[in-house]
Amino acid sequence: MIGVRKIGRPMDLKERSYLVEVARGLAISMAHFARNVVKQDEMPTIQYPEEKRVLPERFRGRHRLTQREDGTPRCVACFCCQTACPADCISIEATEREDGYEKVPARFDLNILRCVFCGLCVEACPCDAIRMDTGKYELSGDDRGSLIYDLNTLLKD
Amino acid sequence: MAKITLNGIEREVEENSYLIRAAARCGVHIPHYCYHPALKVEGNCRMCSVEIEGVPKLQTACTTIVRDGMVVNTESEKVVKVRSEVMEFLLRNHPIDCPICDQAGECGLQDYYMEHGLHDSRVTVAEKVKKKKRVDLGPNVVLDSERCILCARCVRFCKDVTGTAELVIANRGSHAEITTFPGRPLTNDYAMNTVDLCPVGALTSRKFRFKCRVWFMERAESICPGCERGCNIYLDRFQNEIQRMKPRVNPRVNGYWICDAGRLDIDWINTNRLLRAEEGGRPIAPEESDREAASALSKGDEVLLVASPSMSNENLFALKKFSEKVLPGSELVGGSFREPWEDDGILRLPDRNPNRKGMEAIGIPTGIEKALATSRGTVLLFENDLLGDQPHLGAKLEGKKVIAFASNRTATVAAADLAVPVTSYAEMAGSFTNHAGRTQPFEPAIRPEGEARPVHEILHRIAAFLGSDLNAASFDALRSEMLEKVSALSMAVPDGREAEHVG
Amino acid sequence: MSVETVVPFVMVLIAALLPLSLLPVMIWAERKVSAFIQDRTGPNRAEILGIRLGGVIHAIADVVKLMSKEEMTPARVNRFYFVLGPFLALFVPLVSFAIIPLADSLNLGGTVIPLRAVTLNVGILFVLAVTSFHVYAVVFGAWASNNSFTLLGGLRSAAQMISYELGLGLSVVGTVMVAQSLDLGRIVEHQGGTLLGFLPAWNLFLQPLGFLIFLVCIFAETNRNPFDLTEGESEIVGYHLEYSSMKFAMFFMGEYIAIIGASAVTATLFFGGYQVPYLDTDFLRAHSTGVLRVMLVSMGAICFVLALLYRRYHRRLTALYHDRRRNEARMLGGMMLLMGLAAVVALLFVSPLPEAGGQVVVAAVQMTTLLVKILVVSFFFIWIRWTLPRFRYDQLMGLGWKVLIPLALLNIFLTGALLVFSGRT
Repeated sequence: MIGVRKIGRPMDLKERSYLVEVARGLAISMAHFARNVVKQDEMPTIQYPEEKRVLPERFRGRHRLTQREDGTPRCVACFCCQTACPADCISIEATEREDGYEKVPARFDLNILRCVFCGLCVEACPCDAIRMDTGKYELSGDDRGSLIYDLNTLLKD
Repeated sequence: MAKITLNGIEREVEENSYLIRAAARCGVHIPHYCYHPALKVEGNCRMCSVEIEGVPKLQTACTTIVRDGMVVNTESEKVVKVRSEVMEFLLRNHPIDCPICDQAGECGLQDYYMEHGLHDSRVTVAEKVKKKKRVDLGPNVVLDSERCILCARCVRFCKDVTGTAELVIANRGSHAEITTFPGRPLTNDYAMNTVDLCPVGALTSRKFRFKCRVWFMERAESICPGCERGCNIYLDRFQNEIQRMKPRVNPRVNGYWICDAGRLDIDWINTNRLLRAEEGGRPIAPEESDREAASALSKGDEVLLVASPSMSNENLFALKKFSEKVLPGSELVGGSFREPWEDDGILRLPDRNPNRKGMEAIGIPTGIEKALATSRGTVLLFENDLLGDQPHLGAKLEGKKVIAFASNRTATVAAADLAVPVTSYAEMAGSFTNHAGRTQPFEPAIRPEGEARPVHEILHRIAAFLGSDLNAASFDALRSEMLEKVSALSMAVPDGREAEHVG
Repeated sequence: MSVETVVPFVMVLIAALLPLSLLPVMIWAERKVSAFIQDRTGPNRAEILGIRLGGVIHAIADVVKLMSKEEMTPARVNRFYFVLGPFLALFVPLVSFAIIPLADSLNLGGTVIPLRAVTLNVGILFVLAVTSFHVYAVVFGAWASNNSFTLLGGLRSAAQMISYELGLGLSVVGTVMVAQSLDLGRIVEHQGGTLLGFLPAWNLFLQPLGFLIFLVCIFAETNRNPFDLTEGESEIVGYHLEYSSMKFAMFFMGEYIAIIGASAVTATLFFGGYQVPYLDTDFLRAHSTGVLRVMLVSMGAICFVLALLYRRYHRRLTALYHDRRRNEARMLGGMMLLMGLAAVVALLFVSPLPEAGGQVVVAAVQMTTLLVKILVVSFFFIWIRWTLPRFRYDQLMGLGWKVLIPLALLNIFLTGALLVFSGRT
């Protein structure tokens, strides 16, 4: 059985009439209102598309895949990022290449709609192939397909 | 029986057995690479070194025969230190390949390093000896010499098990490597067992290479449907797709091996499937196909049911019940058989049908040619590709109403009046009875794709349309009824998994 | 056509259009005030040719959006009542405006023309009657939606509104007793002049307890915070769950018109209606030319100040935007400058006004006064909403029945006693 314990919090007449506290509340909200009317310039709001926040150095933005000096992707399709990803947003297909690098990604799809930007893929990568240092956070698209980034898109930045 | 003291505890072990095996039976795992219970002993990896009282130096457990009164310590300070140093030796020239190595996740080096090594490397990557990578040993096996620890399991397998001896270790010292004789690639029919044997990532399967990381996969215990041997297998799945087939140890049936033909025959499960019921090539809903089948059967015409020795016992039993209970006037015969292949003296048996014995036990007669010649009305084909496999029989279907129950799109399905999708063995539970009369159960590895259902369920639904209860909707009830009625089909208990250690 | 026939028509027009034209202002104010109270900037994006007016254009955008949205009618609803609900919600609050006296009656050579759409000597009863009609809008909408949740929400709000109507009705009895009339015109007239020599003779000061009860009840009647359990989007489902597009917008607009109406009634009953504090009608009429001059001067001054502010604003805009929005302040500032100049020019040409003209000017001043009072009370509505949390339902009912009604009865008793002892009756 769940018991109910009544906790008495007796209020005196002043509290029960609410009027004093209501007046205090009104004073507080009026103080904010008046300050913001008079000092509109000092409002902390950033007028976003025109003004932009300065990003911290280690901001985790959209991912990119890094390249070696010869322009090939560093990624060796080890699936470590896919394994680490808690949102299950990376899907890789590996293939074999004849020109020196044994295993390379044939497909590398990153579903940004699922991504939670935790950065575990970056931590997991043994080859420094995936990074989140692009500083891009304006990730929107007209359809879901355009928000699943493929290998070439991720290599571009 | 011999009495030994293992890590301070007195144990009774089999006389004249190797210490490593005796310890394993006592539940003490001694790390090893080169030792394999099915291969001849070599003792080259030194991982299984143990301390034996009265012997000044450490002894390899895989080469030592137990003696009465032996006092063995597998965890002494000295043993632990030696193990760690052996690990360091083995990893001296091992490349940093784990990200791209298929063995990663089920690799003996990774496992034992975490358990017994844990040292910091004293060599840089540049100092490691470079060897050939990606060598095609044969059509199905790829070798990476750098990763090899020279345990010679694969060499011994080819020499002793298949007797073909294609592999050999050439050169000396750090440059020693596995190779084939010139002009004699690794082409034997059991070559891919060397991939399973390899405790590291040196030998990899051409087919499975880079396909899937092993830690993503889940496995199901199944039975190979390739021939009447009924080899025990694992089916490894990822994303509802069969990724690879691996042998499952069963000393009574297949030992540690399976043949390459069976192992590679998995693509048909994932491709070219019949996903929806089709009436003359037009997709229809499952209920509609049941109704169609029922109305074709209720016309009172002569009905011929053709079973297949590839079907599971449970499905065959349901079919038998269906023909006796629901369609009393119908004729039921065992259908087409795949063309036999030759007995290779190791595992393969000539008959390529996994369940001919089961079909016989359930009491489905053969004689399809005669039955087809005399039948006039509707023909129900179960997992039979008459047109594709046996065109001379397929030709006799001309002019008859054909209802095909099939898992894949075959020539017969394309020609049938009504095609009903059924599950393959990988998608359902069931059992096969092998050549020796051993009935072995298998479990579903993946979910059925599309609208495919097991044959017994479909029969149950059709029977319901025809106004009778087949009592075959539940697999468990069906199996227990079958076991009750057909005593020859009692399930064999899988045995002998004790020796599956590394690789 | 004589003046006597034209003026009522004009009054009807004003009574109908004033709340409708205040509606977008109210919606804008609600959003902007809430934003400022919460340290946000509020709406400032929608624009027409770069003109944003600090977010007023969003009201137009809202209307376009609501009109172009899909009109959903759930299956098996009672269509007649389903449409009648939002219609009543919008229409009923509009009606209460008809009897608000907008200014003192014109007196043209002996003909008295009251400046309100409808002259009723039971005005206050009409207000109460019409307000209670709002319950029907809610109940029709709730029941006709064929949804048990809306029905529950509708019953809940019906119970709330009916409960608070008692307190509302009882709280204005004191006012009626003081003015000795049910006619709103008389009540306003009674509030002219001063009290104790320094206070305007508003009912606010004569009936402080009645005012407090009235204010609380009118909040509950208009379903405003802290009594907006009717909507309570975040925790309970309200009566207009099944409404979409314009039908929803009608409920939405009805709510704001009800606020404006309630503000007008409050201003009329307790803040002296159209009365300019300390300056009664006779005084204003006697100095009509001076009043006009003061009006023009203050208008000019306001325009110039705004023009200066716009100049400052222009600097901020040009730093932030690089499209047509940067020209907004310059355009509006120019307009203000022109209007200020026009006021100055008009001031130069003011000559003593004739009797009728003076009365019209005074009426305009009184209407402006009333408008300002309405806006102040409406602001108070908004201000309260963004300050107080919502009541629990049992607290709501407890307050209505156990506190407000006894207090209102006490107020009637006290007023009566005072009136008797001061010998006013």
